[in-house]
Amino acid sequence: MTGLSEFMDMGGYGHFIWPSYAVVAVVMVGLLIISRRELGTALRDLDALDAPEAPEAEQ
Amino acid sequence: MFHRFANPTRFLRFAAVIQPWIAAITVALIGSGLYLGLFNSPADYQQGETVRIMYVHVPSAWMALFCYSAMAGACAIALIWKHPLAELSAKATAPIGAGFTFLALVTGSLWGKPMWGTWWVWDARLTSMLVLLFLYLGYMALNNAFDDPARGAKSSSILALVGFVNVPIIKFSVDWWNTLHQPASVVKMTGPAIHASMLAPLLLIGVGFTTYYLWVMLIRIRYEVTANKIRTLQRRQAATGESHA
Amino acid sequence: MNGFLQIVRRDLHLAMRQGMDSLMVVAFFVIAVVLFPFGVGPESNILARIAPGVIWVAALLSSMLSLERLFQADYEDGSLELLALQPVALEITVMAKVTVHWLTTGLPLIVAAPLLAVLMNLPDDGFVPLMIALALGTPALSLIGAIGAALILGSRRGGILLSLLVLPLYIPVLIFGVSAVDAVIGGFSARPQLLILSGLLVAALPLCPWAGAAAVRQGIE
Repeated sequence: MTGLSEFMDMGGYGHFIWPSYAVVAVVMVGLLIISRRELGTALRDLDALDAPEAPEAEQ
Repeated sequence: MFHRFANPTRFLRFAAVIQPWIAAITVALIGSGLYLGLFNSPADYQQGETVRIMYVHVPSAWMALFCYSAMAGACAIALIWKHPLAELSAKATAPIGAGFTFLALVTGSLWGKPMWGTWWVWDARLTSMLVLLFLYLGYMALNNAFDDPARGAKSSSILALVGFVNVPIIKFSVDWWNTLHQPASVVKMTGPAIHASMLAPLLLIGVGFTTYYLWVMLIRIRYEVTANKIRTLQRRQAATGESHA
Repeated sequence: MNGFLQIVRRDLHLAMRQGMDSLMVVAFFVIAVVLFPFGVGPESNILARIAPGVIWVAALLSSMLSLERLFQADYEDGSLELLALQPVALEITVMAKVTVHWLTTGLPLIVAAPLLAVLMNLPDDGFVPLMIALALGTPALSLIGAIGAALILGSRRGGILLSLLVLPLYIPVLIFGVSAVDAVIGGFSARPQLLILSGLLVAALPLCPWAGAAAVRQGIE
């Protein structure tokens, strides 16, 4: 393995190989992050709904 | 085993426990697969370094089909046995499968450009993937097209099964169509003959993608269950809110 | 059989009263095909080469545009629920509606096809296989489309969603329908393609009413 620049170049095909890996990373990591955020928001909304119910139940 | 998890709350607890483990396994598998694929495997004798795209293209294509099958299976369970989590797991799977289908198409295109000089090739496999993407999009659109999410889930379950039955028919038709229109130069996305040092990263990434699917699916199922709870609570509060006022 | 014919007669009556619908389907078919010479130029060779594909795609789109009406009217005024409760099996009802759809959409398309074939400069050999393929394919399109029409009952944005659902499922019929015509023009037999089209139709005949009825049941619950 000689040098980083040669590795990045990948025999001239670097322009296709790295974008491939990049788009895979973006989509997979992106989907993960979006899903986690949706879950976080939903859990917080659920807590908000539960909380005011508690004092009402005590009445 | 399924009966235990018919209770959504129990499933949520189980999901929260195993999720970090699945996450760790996913990172380990994909990480090691990438390392082997990029650093420790040879360039292909015919295709040169571009063969490295195969390490993400082929597993993406596998996952595209695997997710659709899993989705259809879950829909069948939902329709026949009405297991409450079945519909949710199908709904959770759809965007993941669609994402992998998209990736299979994009990486296929990036693989094809240096090989055959064009960004898109109406190769049988890529074309079938494109139709599969539309099947996914149709399922997701139908699922979200109703005010009542339960109705959307049932409707799209039927669609998923109809689509699943059609997948082999579509595949057969596209293969037929492709062989009819084969241009002078044989344009096929056949990969290189795979030998051991290429097989290892391929399998590692393939399994890693599968555990990734489980990881994200668990998150999304937890989201769906939570969203259902919110809806139920909101309805209940709307009903009792008036009596409190 | 009696129930089947009753529903066919009823739906045909309704369709005849709004006689415009069949004419509009044919008008769309013609306009859609006529757009292509404007798009690709009037050169005869090019038109001849793309004629089978263009006619078939236009037939697909025309067939699909009238699918929404299959169940919608009855769904909206509650007749669909009543039909589901009849002693006549819902599958037969669906089959009857599909039959009427084909009679008012598919059949007119087949009749209009030779005119369009002339406009698109289709070689003489292609006329007969085109008619036969359309005769086998359009019923399948009606059958497959019925499932889609049932699935979108009660949804928002029904029409455009229906296209997204149904068009991918139409692709096999399209491929073999065009291939049949191309084969004969190229001097080969269209037998394999026509056999496959027949197979698709025969498979669709029991399966689509069954799936369609299941979808209707979901819709009226």
